[in-house]
Amino acid sequence: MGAAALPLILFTLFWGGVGGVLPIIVPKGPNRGIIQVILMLTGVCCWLFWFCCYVAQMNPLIGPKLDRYTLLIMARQWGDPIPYTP
Amino acid sequence: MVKTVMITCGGALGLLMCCVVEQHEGGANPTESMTRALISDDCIARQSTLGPVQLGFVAGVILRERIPAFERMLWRACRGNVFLRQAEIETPLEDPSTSDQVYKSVFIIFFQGDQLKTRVKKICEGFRATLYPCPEAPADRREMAMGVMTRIEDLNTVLGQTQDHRHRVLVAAAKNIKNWFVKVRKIKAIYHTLNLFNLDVTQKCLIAECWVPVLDLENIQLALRRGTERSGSSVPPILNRMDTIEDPPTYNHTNKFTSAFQTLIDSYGIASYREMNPAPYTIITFPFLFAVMFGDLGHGFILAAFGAWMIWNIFFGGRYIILLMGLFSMYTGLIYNDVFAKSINIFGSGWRVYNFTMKNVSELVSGATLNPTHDYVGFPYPIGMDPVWQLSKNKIIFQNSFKMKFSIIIGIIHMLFGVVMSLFNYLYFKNKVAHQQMQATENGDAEQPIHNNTAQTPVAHGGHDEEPLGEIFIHQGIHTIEYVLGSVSHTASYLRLWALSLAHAQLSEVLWSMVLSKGLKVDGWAGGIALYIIFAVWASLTVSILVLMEGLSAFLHTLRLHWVEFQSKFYSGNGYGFQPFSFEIILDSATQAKEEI
Repeated sequence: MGAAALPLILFTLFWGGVGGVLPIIVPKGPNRGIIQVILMLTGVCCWLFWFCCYVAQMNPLIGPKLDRYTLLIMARQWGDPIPYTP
Repeated sequence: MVKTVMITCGGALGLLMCCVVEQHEGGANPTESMTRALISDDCIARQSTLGPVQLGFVAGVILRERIPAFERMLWRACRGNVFLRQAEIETPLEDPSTSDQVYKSVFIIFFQGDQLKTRVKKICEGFRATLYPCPEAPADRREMAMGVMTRIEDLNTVLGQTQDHRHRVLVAAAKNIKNWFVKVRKIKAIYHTLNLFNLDVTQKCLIAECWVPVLDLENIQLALRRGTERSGSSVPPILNRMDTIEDPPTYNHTNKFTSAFQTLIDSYGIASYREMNPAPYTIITFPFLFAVMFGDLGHGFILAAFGAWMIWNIFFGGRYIILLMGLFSMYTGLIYNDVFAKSINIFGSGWRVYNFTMKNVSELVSGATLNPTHDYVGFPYPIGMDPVWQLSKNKIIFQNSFKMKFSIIIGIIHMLFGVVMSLFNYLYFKNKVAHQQMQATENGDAEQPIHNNTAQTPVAHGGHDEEPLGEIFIHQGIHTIEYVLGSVSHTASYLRLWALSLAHAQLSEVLWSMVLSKGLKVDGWAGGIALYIIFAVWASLTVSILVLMEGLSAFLHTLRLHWVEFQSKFYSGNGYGFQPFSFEIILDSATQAKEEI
């Protein structure tokens, strides 16, 4: 078990772009510094929050406890119909 | 025969006086008095012998409530030798000095002799009665009345014209009154500031000291030059930098976006001069920590929409904070996968119902727990919480572990960030102290005293030098233990992020299961009506409790995390604010003061 590479790379690139690349290309002006700080902190905070949530689910120790109807509906709606075996 | 009063005046007044005539005492018989003439011939004869008895009178008006006292006074002072008649004036008169409506009476007093006349006049004066001359001859009186009438008419026309004129002037002034107020306030402020200047020794110029932001020095020079040109003065004002031992005020440049965050920091304490200002970092960390507690895509959207609406419509300082809090709450809500206590399944859950048959599902009584090894696809849901947890009964157990861990992680990072800032503070102030000491030793004798003073601050700080080594150890040991304990308790304090986020999620789930889902379970057309009403209840509870109340509580907890846990690491906040001379501020405070009145 573990992580899928694609979401990790995409998300890290996305927030890395916000926090790492955008601050470089901020146009010059009196507010440049504050905009850089805002972008960097936004990138760090949002990436960290997503990352922690992702990592927390990578190796689950417990599974969701579901009642009967939820199981049946999940099976039907999320694409694993339960076979009719007597 | 005791007293007899002779009447010499004629006409109406004579009639009035008849009753004063006293009867002859011990007159022969009562019928005689009825038949006999009131003024007998011998009376007239006596009058001619003794000379005419002059009966004078004064007439005037007096306040109605003073009449009884006035009458009594007259009676006593003149021993009953005067005769007073009065009549009330029905219509109230206006007092010209206070413009109150007052009731008055008109009176006339008769008396004999000059002595009584002066006495009566004194009393009238004392009672503030207004006396009017009244000629004795009827023709004169008529003439006078005519004169008075024409004068009243004249005065009325004058009054009318004056009133018209006054109205026109006031209407013209009303257009300008606001500008005048602004002008007067500006001029007042300028003169107030000018009063702070001192006259120079040469008596030819004014001198004052003030604080000026170094960044704006050039602007100020330009403004001074412009002022010189406009006033046509030939002598330009001089602006010189000077050395001082005073602590300068703190001035952080803000704009409409950052000012609200700076206010949050300043309400804890204004930064000491040149201290690290936490406000720029707060712009993001504040809404983010708020959003960790408030994470719900739907509630976040409401908040963000409210913030955006305020930005377009009303001038409220916190509107950008609210917008950012809403936007970040939408993001954390997306990660928590929580929209009004429901999840969205965008990418497909990582948990599958592979290993069930219809038979064992139908045999289940209390449901089943999916197995992490068999029912899990092997990689997590890409963005945020797997939607299956929202449906599961052990959701809280799973989410708690994530939320608690994240709270501690973000707490430690936040506090470490604060410690790094304290390092910058330390490096800056240490450099400054070293620089000042160097200057003090290099400078000549003339400037020595000033610089000695500047150098005294670091000496006070480094006062430990004189302490024995053992005491330093003890002090530092205590300090270290305090710091470590404080850091541990502060770390635990960040668990409020978890607690509030849990409370928020649970409350919104309660609202879903106890209110809105009830409305969805009613069958038939009645269900439409039920849902209509129940949705209104749910929506108002959502806004009032989950967005407003919970939002306020999350805001306060975020504020505490910033003020206590974060800022205690580096921020002393012992400075005082720079108060620039600004017409805008002066006029704003003036209008506010006016509104309060």
